[in-house]
Amino acid sequence: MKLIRVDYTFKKALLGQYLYILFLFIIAFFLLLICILLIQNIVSKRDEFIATQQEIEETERRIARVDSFKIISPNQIVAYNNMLTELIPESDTNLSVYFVLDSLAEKTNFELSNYRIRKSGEESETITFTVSGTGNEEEFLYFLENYRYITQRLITIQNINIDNSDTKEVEMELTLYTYKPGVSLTQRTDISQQDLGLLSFIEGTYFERSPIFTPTKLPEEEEKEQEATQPAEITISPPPQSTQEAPLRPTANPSIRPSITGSATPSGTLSPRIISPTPSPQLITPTPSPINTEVNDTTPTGQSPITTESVAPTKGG
Amino acid sequence: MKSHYINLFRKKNQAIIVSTGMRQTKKITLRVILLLLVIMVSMYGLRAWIQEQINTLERQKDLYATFIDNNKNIEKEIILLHKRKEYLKRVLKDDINFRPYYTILNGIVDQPEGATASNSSVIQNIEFSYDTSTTITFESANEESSWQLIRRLESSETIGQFDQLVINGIVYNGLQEDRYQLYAEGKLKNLTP
Repeated sequence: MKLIRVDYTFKKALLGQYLYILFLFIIAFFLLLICILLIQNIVSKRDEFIATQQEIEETERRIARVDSFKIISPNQIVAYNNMLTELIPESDTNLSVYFVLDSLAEKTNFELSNYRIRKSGEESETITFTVSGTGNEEEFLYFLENYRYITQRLITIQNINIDNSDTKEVEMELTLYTYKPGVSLTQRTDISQQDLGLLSFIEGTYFERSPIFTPTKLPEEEEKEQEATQPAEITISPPPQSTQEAPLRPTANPSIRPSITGSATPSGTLSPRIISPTPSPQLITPTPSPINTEVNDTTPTGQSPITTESVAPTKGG
Repeated sequence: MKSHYINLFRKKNQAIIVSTGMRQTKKITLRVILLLLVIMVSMYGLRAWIQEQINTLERQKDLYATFIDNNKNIEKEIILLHKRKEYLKRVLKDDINFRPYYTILNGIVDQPEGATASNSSVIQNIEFSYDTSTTITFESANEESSWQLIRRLESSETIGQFDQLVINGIVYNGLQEDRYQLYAEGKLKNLTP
């Protein structure tokens, strides 16, 4: 008989250790799995952190923007916006050239005639036109100092040709502007003292007396007012009786139309009224009746004969 | 030849090797588990810290959002004001701003003290563009005043106000009366800041 001796120590050792190690392996595996999941989670949290941080930075920029304009009161910001919107409206037609020229001639006492629109279009931001002017030296200098803002429409001169004879005859290339700004929250904004000086100068010099200009209204108040009123129909109300309250700007308010004391011929020539060297309040003739405006569309360029009756805006009104 | 005996010494050696290997594996695995535990705890800590930071930022964001929400309208107004103001400034650069240049150009023919009208010069015509380039036609009553005008144009005071100044020519027109016309063109120094 053959005897076989079995090593129990070896088997026991192998079996016991094996299960124990397997158990440890499983634990290690789960721990590893948890670690991997945690790393993934941390990466996503980090992304979230960065995204939130960027949002905060963006918001801080926006707050800084509001803070940077703290040198002006909110009412003043709205006021300046209204003023600039009047100076550079969001849209316009060639017809406004006539109103602006009439107003410019009246307020500067510099006679303007023979306007010709050179360049304009629906998508263009500018209306460029040439115009001839006549007046004495004093009137011309007053015109030069005030033409930009005095009509409450921004006017620039690109070229000027002065012919010095007995009376000063000037041919100019003028431009009116329209601008419709979009609101982008990422837009960086700033305002310097120089900018404020410019805005303050324009407002103080040319916009103070206009009753249309309401610098103290906030948008919320305007919205409330709009809700309170009936916005569906535009009523043409008679102009104010007082000459001091007469609107300076021709096209600012659809309910108040200015007078055109000159007449535009179909050929595009403007025949302004007789201009006295000093502003004549007598020209203001408040009419109690609603304003009648007739525009004859016989000419395609919009420079049609116009008959308008209303209050004549005057300088210093 | 096949052996009929079991080598007990060899079996024992194998058992020792396997047993040692197992112990080593167990020890390494335990260390790995310990290391993973440490990493896991650290990760939890890191994650909690990031989460806390995010929460802080979120609270800050909410605070800012309230501020922004309260100032939404004024912010819009600010943006619009900024854009309109920038547009205004841009547009004003295209304006000739002729008033100061007009004074300068007139200053060229201003009468010096003691001068009489007979030996004076006047500006007949000015063409001026937004880029300050100008063309001027002077008219002088006689030859002497014409030379005086040239001397004034060539003076350092006048030249200092121009970037470029060229006298194109003098034309004598004696058909009706003695008239000297002097043509000049140039570019004035930009006075716009």
